[in-house]
Amino acid sequence: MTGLTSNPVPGRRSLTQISDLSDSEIVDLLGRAEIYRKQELGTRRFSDELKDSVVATLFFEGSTRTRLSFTLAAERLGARVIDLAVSASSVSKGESLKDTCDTVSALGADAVVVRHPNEGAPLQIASWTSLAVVNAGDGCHEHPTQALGDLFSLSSAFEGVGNLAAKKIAIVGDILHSRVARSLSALLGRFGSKVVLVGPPDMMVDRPSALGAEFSFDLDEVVGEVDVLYLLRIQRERIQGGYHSSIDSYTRRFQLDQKRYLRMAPKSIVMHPGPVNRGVELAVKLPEERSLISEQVRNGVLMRMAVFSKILATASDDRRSQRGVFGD
Amino acid sequence: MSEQKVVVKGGLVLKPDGLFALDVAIEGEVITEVSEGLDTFGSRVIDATGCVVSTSFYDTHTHSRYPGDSEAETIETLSEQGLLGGYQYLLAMANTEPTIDSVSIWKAVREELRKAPIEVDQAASITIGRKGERLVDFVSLSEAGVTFFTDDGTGVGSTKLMYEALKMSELLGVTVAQHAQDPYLFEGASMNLGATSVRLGLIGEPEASESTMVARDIELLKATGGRLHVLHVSARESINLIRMARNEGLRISAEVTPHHLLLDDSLLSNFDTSFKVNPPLRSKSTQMAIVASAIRGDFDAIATDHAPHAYHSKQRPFSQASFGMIGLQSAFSACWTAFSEPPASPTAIATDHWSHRAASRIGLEPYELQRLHRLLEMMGPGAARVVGRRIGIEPNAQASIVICDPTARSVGKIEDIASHSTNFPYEGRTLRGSVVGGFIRGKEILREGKLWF
Repeated sequence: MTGLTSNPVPGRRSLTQISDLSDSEIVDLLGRAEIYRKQELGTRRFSDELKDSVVATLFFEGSTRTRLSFTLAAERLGARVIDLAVSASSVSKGESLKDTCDTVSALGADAVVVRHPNEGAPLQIASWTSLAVVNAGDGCHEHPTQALGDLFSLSSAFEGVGNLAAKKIAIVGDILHSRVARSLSALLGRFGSKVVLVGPPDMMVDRPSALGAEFSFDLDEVVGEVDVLYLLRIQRERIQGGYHSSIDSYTRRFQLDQKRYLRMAPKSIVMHPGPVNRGVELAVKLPEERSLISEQVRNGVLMRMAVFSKILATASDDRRSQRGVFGD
Repeated sequence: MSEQKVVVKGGLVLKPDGLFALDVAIEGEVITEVSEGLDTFGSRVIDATGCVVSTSFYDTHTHSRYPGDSEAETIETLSEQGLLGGYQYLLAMANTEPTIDSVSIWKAVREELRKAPIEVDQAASITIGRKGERLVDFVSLSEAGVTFFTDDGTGVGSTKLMYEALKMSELLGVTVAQHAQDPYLFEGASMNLGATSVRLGLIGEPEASESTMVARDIELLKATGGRLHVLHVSARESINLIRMARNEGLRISAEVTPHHLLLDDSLLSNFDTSFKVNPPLRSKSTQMAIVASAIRGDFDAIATDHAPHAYHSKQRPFSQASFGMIGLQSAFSACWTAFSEPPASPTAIATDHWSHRAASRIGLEPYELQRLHRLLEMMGPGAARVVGRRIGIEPNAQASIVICDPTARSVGKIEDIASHSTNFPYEGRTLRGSVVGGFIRGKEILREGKLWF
């Protein structure tokens, strides 16, 4: 577990970005998620694996789905979940991020799940406090648990992570502002997949090679040759005033419609982190075997369980060993 | 002031054309003799063996934070860092609270700064409130004694206002200093545009943001006359433009900071706000190009852009944290470390037998001695020329000297820095060279790297 960002208190680990993880840690997380799936823990049963742990959710930016997924994941493993309703206003008032997190730390949470509109905030919290931090999305930086859940979905779909090496995956949409695209390209690159970032020039990052990926401004050029088409959610407000003056002009070139869908390879699949903007990035009814979209949601919970298990098991071992040292 | 004659013996002394094995005699406030093998009878001897003896340093770019932010820095802490860093003169920028944009404010602040144990000069802003809307009263400020005008912290975006400011510069004989940064290209940016900003998802500023404004200002300089100083150069193209303008005979000078010489934007990978600075740290390749340019002699001065900030203004999410780092006390070590990194150039000027001997006296290679000479020139006489002073180690000159050990090594530690602020970029980094001794106007200020008065 040496790759996870080390915090001042030994045993407390954080997941703030994909580069925190070593390859073997990623494989281990996939293994844990698979075990939970087999035990049906993600769907039907609860365990008491983390019954003495407290997880705090700290969402500086609104998100219902991600928060639910994290909450469910922690509860399936028997942890207590507390939610700190952080109003967006306390951030804009310039309140020190560290002060807020010191409070959470003093409340005695074992781990904190952080969603923040500013890039790097979870990583900063991990370095400023002794909290184990899980990044639930930070600005345009990363969303590592989403990417890990997606990797789990891909690994299941292609029967093993080893089979991802020869696969070509196109990520389509607003690459510039996408934390999913950043985490996913970093993660898939580790397993040898070929990642192509697709979007209009004003939504493309300045140096796609920095993300270990190729790029294209033309979906029609790549749609026929990919194994996976990963559609990103398009934020309507980001369209206006940009390269494309309207949703229409974006959808004409980057929407997965019937015509483009029919050009896709027979066994290729479609993914989307949700929630889908029907009629914007996706305008075709996908047969179940060609879409991983629902599977991604289920696997997201399993992967977040795996992450908690890995982080908090260490934390409670640590507590036990402290009791051992200091007596009762 | 020491009444007894002092002889600084055994060091290599900074002269315009090199570093030479000379002794320096100080009597009262002045240097009385500079020559080989000075008689030390009846004198106090300062042993400078293994060291270089330079003019005291001038900083053309300091943020005193006075008035307005005593939590970040006070005149006392600023002075202490300056003296420990080998400085005798600091030029305070005008982006204080309130802005130094009128004669009354300038006079009041200058009065307060006069109490400092180090000379702190005060610049005035170019535009009222540094808002870029209206010029300050150049005539009255110039009459009151202001010689240096800058909106540092922000570039003068309006071409018309910069044109007017340079005309004032020509008319009044004052210097206009530009923080070259295009307001549109900089909008929203918190770091350099490059591979790191792409990975971090932060908005990056291209180098062209700086160089386009430098190009514009040079054109304005041609049209108006005047004297332009380019602050904290951080872009490769700016250097080329400034070199060309200088070759055309325009009155232009340029400074470079220790941090742009030593650091690059890969340090931001962990969102460490200590490295957030404006202009931003650039790519490794640009950083290396800046060092090569500095060694070649493209810059007039080293300027610290010492920018203290209260700790809480750095403990914010990266894009909201304040820009700036402290660097006054560590300037010589940081620059000398940066100058030591590039390997010897194969085209370096062939050195004679004498240079080999001089270099080996202080444990350096001859090419390193040339670089050290270049660095000390920029930190002392070069920087002084930017603010209109002429300094040198020669008989009858003011006895303000600094003694540096170029081979000492130390690890940067914030505990050793006298600032109230902690935005120190060299924490844990091994730095080469240290300031060990110093006199200002004949008075011993530093001994064994510690304040002494």
